[in-house]
Amino acid sequence: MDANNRPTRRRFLSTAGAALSAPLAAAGAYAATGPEAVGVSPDEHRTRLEDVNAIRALYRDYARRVNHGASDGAIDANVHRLSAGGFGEDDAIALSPDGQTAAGVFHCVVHSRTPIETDCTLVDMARAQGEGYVERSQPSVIEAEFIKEDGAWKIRSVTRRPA
Amino acid sequence: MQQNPAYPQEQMHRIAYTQLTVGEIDEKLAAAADGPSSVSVLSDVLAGRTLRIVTDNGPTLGYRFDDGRRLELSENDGPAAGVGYGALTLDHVTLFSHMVPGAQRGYNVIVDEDTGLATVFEVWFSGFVDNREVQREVYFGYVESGGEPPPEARHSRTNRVEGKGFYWRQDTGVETLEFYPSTFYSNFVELTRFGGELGFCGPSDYVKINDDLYVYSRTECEFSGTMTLYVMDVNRVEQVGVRLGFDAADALEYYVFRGSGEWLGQIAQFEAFGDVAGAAPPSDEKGARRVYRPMRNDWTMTEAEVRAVTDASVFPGPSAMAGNKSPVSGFLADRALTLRFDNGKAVEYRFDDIQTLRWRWEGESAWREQRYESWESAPGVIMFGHLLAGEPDHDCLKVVADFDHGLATAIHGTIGTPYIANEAAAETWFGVVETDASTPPRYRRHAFTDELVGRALTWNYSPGLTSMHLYTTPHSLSWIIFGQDGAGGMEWSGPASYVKIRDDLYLAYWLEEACNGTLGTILVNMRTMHDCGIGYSCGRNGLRLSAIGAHARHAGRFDVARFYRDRA
Repeated sequence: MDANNRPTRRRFLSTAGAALSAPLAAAGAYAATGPEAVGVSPDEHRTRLEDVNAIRALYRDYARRVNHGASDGAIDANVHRLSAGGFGEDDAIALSPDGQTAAGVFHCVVHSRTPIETDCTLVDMARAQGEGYVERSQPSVIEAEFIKEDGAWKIRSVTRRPA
Repeated sequence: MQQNPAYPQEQMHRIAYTQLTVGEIDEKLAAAADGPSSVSVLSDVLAGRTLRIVTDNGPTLGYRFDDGRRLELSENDGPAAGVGYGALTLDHVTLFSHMVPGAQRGYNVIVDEDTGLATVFEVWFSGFVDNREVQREVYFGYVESGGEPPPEARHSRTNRVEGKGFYWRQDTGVETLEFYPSTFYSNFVELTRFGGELGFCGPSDYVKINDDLYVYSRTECEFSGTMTLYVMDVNRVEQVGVRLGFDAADALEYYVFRGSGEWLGQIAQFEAFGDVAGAAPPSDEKGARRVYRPMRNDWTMTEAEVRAVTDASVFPGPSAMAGNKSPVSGFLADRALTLRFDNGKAVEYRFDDIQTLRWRWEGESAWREQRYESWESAPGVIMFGHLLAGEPDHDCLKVVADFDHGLATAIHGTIGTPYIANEAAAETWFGVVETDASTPPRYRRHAFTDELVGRALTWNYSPGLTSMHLYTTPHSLSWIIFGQDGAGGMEWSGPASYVKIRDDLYLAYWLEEACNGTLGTILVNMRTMHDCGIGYSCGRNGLRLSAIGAHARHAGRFDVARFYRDRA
C-alpha cells in the first residue's frame, strides 16, 4: 500500500460522500466504495462490496423489525417507526481493515409515541381508540457496530443520537 | 315542535338493562319474522322484483320480493327462505330491512336505484357478552344487473357528516336532537322518550351515498343495545330508517320509520383540508368497532372501601390535564372573608398564603387547614377549591368568587351516589362574598344559564391531549376525543350544569356518572379562550383534587337552546 492508495478519512469522504462521526473516523475504518479508494484486489473489493451490501440489508432488516414493534437499548419501546432521513446520501458503512467488523452511520427520522401517563377519562378514551400518546418525530443518527461471525454479519451494538 | 316530554324513572345510564339470554332473545325475535312494523305506509317499490346484491368481502344476497311485505332470501346462492320485510324510499334510495328466518340476525339494505350501488348492514344479536347489544358489519357492493360489468364505484365511509346536527321527528312521534361531532361516534338527545334532559353517545357509522344522502347508524352500547339506522338527506332534512333492539322493558323494537326535521348547524372539523375519509374499523374482524365501555373498567368501590379512604392527593404536581393551566393566583393570600350562601351555609376563610387556607362553618370555633389553589380567570374573579376535611362524604368546595360584584357560587362536591359509592355528586350553591371592606348585594346572584348550550369548544390540556366539549343540553355535556389526524373520535357524556358568572365567563361542571365518577369543574373564559378548573374523584388510590387547565378553540354552535325551554 503506497501513499496514493492508502485509505484516509479525506479519501473516504471524497469517495463516499459521507460525513462520518468522530468515533467512526477514529477507528481508522474505510469504506469499500471503489478499488482506487481502498487499495485492495478486485476479489477483495468484491468481498467488501458484498459485506457492505449485507450490512446495509442487516440495517434495513433492523429498521423493519423496529417498525414492527421490536425494541432494544437504542430504540426504546416508545419508538414505533423509523423512516429514511433523506436519500441515504449521508449514510456510511465502513469496514475494518481485516473485514471482520464494521461501523455504520445511518440518518433517519425516529417517530416515537410516548404514552400520556395520567389516569383520567380522556386518556382512557384515547387509549380505547388506539392512541393516548404524544407523537414526536426527531431527525436522528443511528450508529451501529457490526461483527462478522461464522461468515455472517451481526449487529454488535446500536446507539442513537439526535441529528 | 317538541311534544311534552315523558320523563323516565331512570335516565338511560342508570337503567339496569336486563342481561337477556340467547333463548330469551330467540323468543322475542319470533315477532320479527313478519318484518318491521311501520307507522308510515310501506313502499311496494320492490314488489315483484328480484335483486342480486353482491358485496365486497361479504355475502351475495339474492332476493325475490313477493309483494310489499314478503321476500325470499338466498344467502351466497344457498337455499331460499321466506321472511317478512319492510321498505321505505327516500328519493332514489330504498331502504329495506328483514331478519333471517330462524336466526338472530338480519339485514338492513340500502339500494341506490340511480347508481345500482348498495350498502348492506348485517346485524345480529348475541355477539357480545351483552347479548342484547346489536352487532353490525357494513358491506359495500352493488346490485347485479344481468350481463353488465360491476360498477367500480362504491358507497364509502366518510367524515362528511362530521360536525352536523339535526332535530328529527319520526312518524312515530319520537323526537330527537342528534349531533355527529365524531367520525365513529354520535350524540343523541331523546326529547320525547327520555325528556330531553341528557345527551347520550353511541358508536356510529357514517356512509356517503352522495353529497346529499348519507347512511348513519348508532348502537346504544352499554345501554339498551338498540340500533338506530337511517338514510338521511342532509339537504332536505328527511330520513327513512329502522330501529332494532329491546327497550327498557325488554320488548322488541323493530320498526321502520320516516322522519323529517331541522338542520341545527355545523361545527368545525379539525382534519386537514381535503381529508374526507371516514373512520376505518379498528380491525378486519367481523363487527369490529370502537366502543367506550367505562363501566367494565372495574373502578367502582364499596361503601366500606370509600369510608376507609384516608389518602388524599390535593393539587399534586404537574398533570396532563393541567399542562396549560394558568399561574396560581396570589389574590387571596392574607385575605379574610366569609362566603354566605342562600342555602344557609356560611364558610369563614383565612387565606394564610397562596396555597394554604383555614376554613370553618360560621359558628364554629376551630379552624381547619387545607391546601388550596386559585386562579384569577378574569379581573377580580377568582376560582379556588379545597377539600372540606372532617365532613362526612369526603366533601369539597369549588368556588368562583367575583370580588368586583360581591358574588360567589360554589360547587359542593361529595363522594357517593345511590348508584355507585365512589361516584361524585354535586350541588350548586349561590351566595355572596362578605369582607370587612365591602357590602355584598342582597338580591343579585349568579344564575344558571343556557348561553353555552349548543356550543362546542376544543380544549388542549397538554401535548397529545385535546378534547372537545359539546354542551348538548342545559343539563349535560359531551366530550369527544380527537384522533391523531384531527378527526373526532371516541365520545361520552354526563350530567352537567352551567352558571353565568359574567358576560363571556361561565362556570360549568360535569359528572362522569357511570363512567369513572369524576366531578369536573371549569371556569370558561370565552374572551381569553382559556379555562381554569378542578377535578375531583375518589378511587382506590384515594381522594383526588387536581387542577385542570387548557387552551380553547371555538368549534361552533348548534341552535338548540330553544328545544329545552319550558313552554306554556
